[in-house]
Amino acid sequence: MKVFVAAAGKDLDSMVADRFARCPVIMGIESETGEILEAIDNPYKDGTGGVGVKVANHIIQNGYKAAIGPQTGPNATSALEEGGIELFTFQGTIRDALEAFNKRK
Amino acid sequence: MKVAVASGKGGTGKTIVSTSLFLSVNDAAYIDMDVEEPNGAIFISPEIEREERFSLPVPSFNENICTFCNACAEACVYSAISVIPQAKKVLFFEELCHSCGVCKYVCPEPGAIVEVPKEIGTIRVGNNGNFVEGTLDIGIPSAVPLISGIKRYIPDNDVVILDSPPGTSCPVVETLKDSDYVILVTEPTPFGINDLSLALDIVRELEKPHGIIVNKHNEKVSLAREFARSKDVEILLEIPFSRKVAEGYSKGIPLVDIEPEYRSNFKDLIERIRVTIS
Repeated sequence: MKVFVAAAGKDLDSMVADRFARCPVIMGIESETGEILEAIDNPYKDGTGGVGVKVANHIIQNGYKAAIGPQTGPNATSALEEGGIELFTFQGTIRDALEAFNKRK
Repeated sequence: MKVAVASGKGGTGKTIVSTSLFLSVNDAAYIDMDVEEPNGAIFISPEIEREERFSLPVPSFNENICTFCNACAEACVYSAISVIPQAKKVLFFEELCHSCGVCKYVCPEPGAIVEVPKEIGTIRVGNNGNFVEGTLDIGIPSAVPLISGIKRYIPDNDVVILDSPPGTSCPVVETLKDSDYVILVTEPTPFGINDLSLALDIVRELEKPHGIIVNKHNEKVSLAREFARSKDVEILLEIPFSRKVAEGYSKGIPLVDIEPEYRSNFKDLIERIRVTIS
């Protein structure tokens, strides 16, 4: 499954970011293989407003099915829920997050 | 000429000065731009002749025509739109919308986006058009569009007084940018001077001629005079603190009715400003 991660860094040993839309790195992972599909510096990180919607739009438009990160804001939450994106809240490294995500019920 | 009355800090006396100018000068108009808390009417007691609701255009999406191409969401710099092809839905975040119209402009499908009015406040006009005030509806995030909208109601009187909102952000800039002269009202307290300094920076950035009125002046406190000297700004008038004025003000009596001798001070002031900007 194509999973979005709000990441603090660009590899699997980086932490899941502590803020969702303003995360340092936007990361995409294939959850079964752990393959990193994208890892880019978040261009919206320092935006003045509407950052949650921008990142939610990125997730929806790029075909992600789930998103791993901290709690999402109200605008991002409503967009992601409408888009049928599964939200998986996690604190720790991305590697551990992925393991927990794959074991979820 | 348009004379704006601003302050930085709230409660220094913008309205006492604005209404005094309006009530002292011939052929003047008073415009209350402090749309989040207009209070000039308390002192002017205008006869309101017209009351109009003010609205802004916001997009409305027809999901039966929309092809969910995402062009609108990509074009929206305020991120007010989320297009969800999976759910055949468009989410619109109205509080993020700035009514710029770009979504409708870029939409390739006629009728998928139409603009509908969203009411944000009320504009009242009275005293044969010489009194104008705006009131922003509760919950509306930005006062700027309403302040901009009020400008269409400004009459062409010889002297137009613009009563500015407090602070140093967008609503203040929107009020000051079309003025010919800015009066900065301060009080001789550290808070008053601190915010006066911020307001002065804005006025200088906007390159507006300006001067200071010190309200609640106290001969024993030289804060405002020292500040004016250090920044090379003229003190136009000092209004000494007076319990009589404060008590009258609390009952909605204008300064120039409590102390009528101030009328000539404000008349002179306007003539001095006229010379400065000519």
